[in-house]
Amino acid sequence: MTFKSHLATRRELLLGSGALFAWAYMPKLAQAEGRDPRLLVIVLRGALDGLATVAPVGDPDWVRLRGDQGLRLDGDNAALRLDNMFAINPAMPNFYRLYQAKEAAVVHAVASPYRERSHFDGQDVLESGVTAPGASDSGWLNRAWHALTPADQVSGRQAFAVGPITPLVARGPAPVMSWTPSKMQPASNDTMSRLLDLYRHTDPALGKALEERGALAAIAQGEANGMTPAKVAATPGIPGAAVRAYFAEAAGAAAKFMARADGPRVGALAFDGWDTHAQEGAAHGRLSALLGALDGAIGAIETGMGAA
Amino acid sequence: MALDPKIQAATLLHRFGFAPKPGGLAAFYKDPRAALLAELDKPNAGEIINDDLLSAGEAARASYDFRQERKAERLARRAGDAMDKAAARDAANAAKEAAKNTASNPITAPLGEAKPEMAKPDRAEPQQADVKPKQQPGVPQQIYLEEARARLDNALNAEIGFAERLVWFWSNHFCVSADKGQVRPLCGAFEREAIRPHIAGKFADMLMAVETHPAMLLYLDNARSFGPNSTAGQRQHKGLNENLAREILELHTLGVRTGYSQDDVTSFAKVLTGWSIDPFKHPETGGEFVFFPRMHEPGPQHVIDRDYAGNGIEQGRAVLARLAVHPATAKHIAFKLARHFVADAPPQALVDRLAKRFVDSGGDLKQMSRELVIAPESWDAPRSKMRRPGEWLTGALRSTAIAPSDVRPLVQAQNLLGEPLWRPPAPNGFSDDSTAWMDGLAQRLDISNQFARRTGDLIDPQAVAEASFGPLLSKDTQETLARAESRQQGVALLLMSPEMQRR
Repeated sequence: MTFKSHLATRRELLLGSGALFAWAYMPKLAQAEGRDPRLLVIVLRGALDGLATVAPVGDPDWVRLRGDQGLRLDGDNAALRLDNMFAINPAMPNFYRLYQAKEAAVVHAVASPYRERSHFDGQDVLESGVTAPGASDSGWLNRAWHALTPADQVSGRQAFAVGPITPLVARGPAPVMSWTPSKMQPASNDTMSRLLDLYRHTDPALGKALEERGALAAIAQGEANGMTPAKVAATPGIPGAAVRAYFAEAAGAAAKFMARADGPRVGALAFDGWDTHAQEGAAHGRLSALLGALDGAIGAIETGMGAA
Repeated sequence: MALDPKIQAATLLHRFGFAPKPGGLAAFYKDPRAALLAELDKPNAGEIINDDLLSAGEAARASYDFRQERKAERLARRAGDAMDKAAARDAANAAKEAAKNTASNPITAPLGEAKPEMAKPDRAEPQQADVKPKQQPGVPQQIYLEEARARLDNALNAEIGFAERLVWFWSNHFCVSADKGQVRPLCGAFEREAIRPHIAGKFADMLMAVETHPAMLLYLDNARSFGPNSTAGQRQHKGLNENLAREILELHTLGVRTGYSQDDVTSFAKVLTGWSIDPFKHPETGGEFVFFPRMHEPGPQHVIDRDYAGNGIEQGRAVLARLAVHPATAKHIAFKLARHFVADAPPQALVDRLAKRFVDSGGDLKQMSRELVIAPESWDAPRSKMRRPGEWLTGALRSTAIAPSDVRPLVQAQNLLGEPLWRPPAPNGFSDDSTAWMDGLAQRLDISNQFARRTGDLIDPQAVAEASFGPLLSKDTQETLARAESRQQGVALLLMSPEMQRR
């Protein structure tokens, strides 16, 4: 995939799908002429499956290697073609549109030097920008921002973070202004399914108690989406409307704060739930729903930033 | 059953304490029984030493004064409203003047033309705001929260927490409820004054302290129970209230269906008439226990095959002293204690030994607790009990070393989990049956998730799990935590793990 030249608009988006990051991105940070660029970094915690997001459908070995789970260009819910090699998950029409307008790009299969298998440590490295996990209490975004802004410039020196806890990437010497969405992020279905799995192996009575409640909650969410209870029951682990609403509110509000002329110019937020090991549901299931929620967040950012 | 001694030690510490503080379990492996029992040997075991907390009487009088002030304010306001029609008109005119002065502002200008009667609500509003000036809760609620804070701190600071767990057990056995009028500000004092001093003492002393405490006398209505033939009863045409007598027999001592009759309940209620409270309005002694001879039913009473002569407070003391060492009481207490700590259906042999220890020692609670801790059943029983919501929340805070600055979220969490502090649904207290608490598992997940989102970055869930559970940590849980997608998810899963849910 080629890296297109950039128009200096606030809405430019870049999705780093091979790594943990998706970001709304303004590359020419320093020289955007007449513009006042913004950088909003979104951390997708848990390791997004990049090949289920942007798939190399043009590779003749793709289907053979990936099997039934792989995205395809044909069939129902076909992936959206980006170029001769890659196609994006059909759950992301906003991103697709922005890509077509050359306002979005993908940097695929990029990784940090960290080679161990701990998710915590891997995320630490990605967010701190320091090669050793746990070696830094600050993140690269904050340090970079601190270094870039002249000491005498008061306005716009703040970084912005969403959520009760500032993501590591945004912590550091530059002051951080934070905001917590009114919607409390519900325990993700991923957390729920991990817990149920643990209970199944260790304490089935607890599993049963929790499962009964989970089914009720899913039905409530699904009905809110116009699904029948039977259909919801048949689709385990689908993140519900609550997750979608939380993503959109968090991202949209971040964009609105940052869009103000005196607003913070860099910001960060984190979305959980991307560790979709088995039955990830790239085209129909859990991952598809999460990507749809992310795509909604991208749409909310676009709206919130306004025409730049 | 010969289990690994470390596993036995860890089981014992979780069963009889809270989840451990960050130092973990390891320090107590060598002799966990001695460590547990040492907590009961400490001077003031189980007590809260805090001069800022109010005695029951002080709390009652402070609440009374507060209500009187509120009442006075209300009356003054009503009088003000009635007399102030003219003043309202004046105020409207003043507003008109003020509006004129800023008449260039087209938005405020029309307000100046408001009719006098329209001005009244404008005037009433700031007055209403004066009633609740700062979002501060009333005095009874303030006292309740201070007591909740002191209780939480005691649990968080305890070495292992056996003494505190016994306090919680007895406090639930002899429960009162803040939901009953006037009891709210007294709940904390009740626990500190009637329960805590006696957890390693004699059951008879605890029983006497409980049944003479103003919180209990209010909660179970004995404060207004009149002997039908007493001077006050005759004069005011008021009669008996049997609640306290019935619950003492059924819940506090002998247990339900242990051979006493309705006649016994009625006679016992007569015995207890006059056990009351000095009216709250008395400045020095209001709200404190008092025996009113004028309310007391005169003459001897027959309670459970025995006659009680005397005519005064001694009559009731004699009945309580006998109930306190009755074999049925021993059985009842033994079963409840074993059910609370060991299993929903505790081994009968254990219950029998506890009851025997109770009888042999004349109701010595330290000896009974000791019997419980050294019992092989306590080492070997599977960890089948759900941690009750309060235990679970306390364990979560202790093991993660998070000390909340504000107790209110904890109080709210206990409400959400169905165990609101000092607010049991009925005089038999909160259930000690594990299945009753399973329904709240979903709420526990919500709370875990919220807790993790606020604190998750500060906590290493795997390290906490290892320190807290040691040899009890299952491989499944270990792997689940290791594979969590984030620390926050790891923390939520840690709090939800079977090791943290059960004990």
